Amino acid sequence: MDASKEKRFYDSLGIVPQVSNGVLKNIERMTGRSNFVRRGLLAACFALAFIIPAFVLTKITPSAAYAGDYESISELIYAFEYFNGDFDNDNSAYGYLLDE
Amino acid sequence: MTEIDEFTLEQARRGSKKAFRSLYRHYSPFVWRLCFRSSNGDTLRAEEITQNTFVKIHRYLPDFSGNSALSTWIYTVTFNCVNEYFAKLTKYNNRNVLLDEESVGSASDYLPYENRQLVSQILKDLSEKERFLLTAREVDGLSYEELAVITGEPEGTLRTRLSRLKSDIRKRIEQTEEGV
Repeated sequence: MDASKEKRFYDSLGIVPQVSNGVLKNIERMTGRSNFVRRGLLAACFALAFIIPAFVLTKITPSAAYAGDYESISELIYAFEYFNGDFDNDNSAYGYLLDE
Repeated sequence: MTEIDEFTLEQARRGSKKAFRSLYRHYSPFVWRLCFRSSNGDTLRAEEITQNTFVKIHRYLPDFSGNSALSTWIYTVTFNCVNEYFAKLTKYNNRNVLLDEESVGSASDYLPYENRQLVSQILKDLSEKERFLLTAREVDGLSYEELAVITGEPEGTLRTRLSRLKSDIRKRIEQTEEGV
């Protein structure tokens, strides 16, 4: 067989049209969007990392406890005094709870 | 193949748009050629695979270790994208679309060889993997060692496969000559 024919066959594989300019534009749009999504997710993770602990902290602060469970600051102080007292005594926290 | 300079590569890794554009201009001709030939001259599919390839390159470029040449790494990404694309097509049973007269016709438009019909017929009968290997080996002149890295197959297997493939192609060209 004429070897040049075979060579021309393989050479012809290399002859292709030019890649369209739209391909680069699409790639830039897609990579830009993926960056945007990645940054957005990162921002959301940071926000959650701060918001959730902050939310939990507000739930356990005395002010929240006061707002939720006690009617006045004097009652709250009274409760603290009971909690710090002797549990065997009538003035203990247990006694306070029984009173309630 | 000449590689892109270290500075541009580093900038592209850090997310510079301009550097990535330079990288695209440097490597897109062979990525495009491989995608075009693998998809048997279907321009739309070739464009889609080229896009997927460069989006992946953009995403994974910071992980490129530099153990191999960048072009070898890009060949590997292209090879995986081609396989992934056609695996999806096969899954959805749409592969026959590639064998339409229309897509074969567009492929033969870029075959200057005198027997266009024979060439397009030979290419049509090959799998996308075989077309990829033939283009990478015969057009881009990749070594078997490089092809082994890209495909993850042993060098010996690739040698045998390509040798058998080329022998089949030779036979078909001979048969046509005898027929004429």
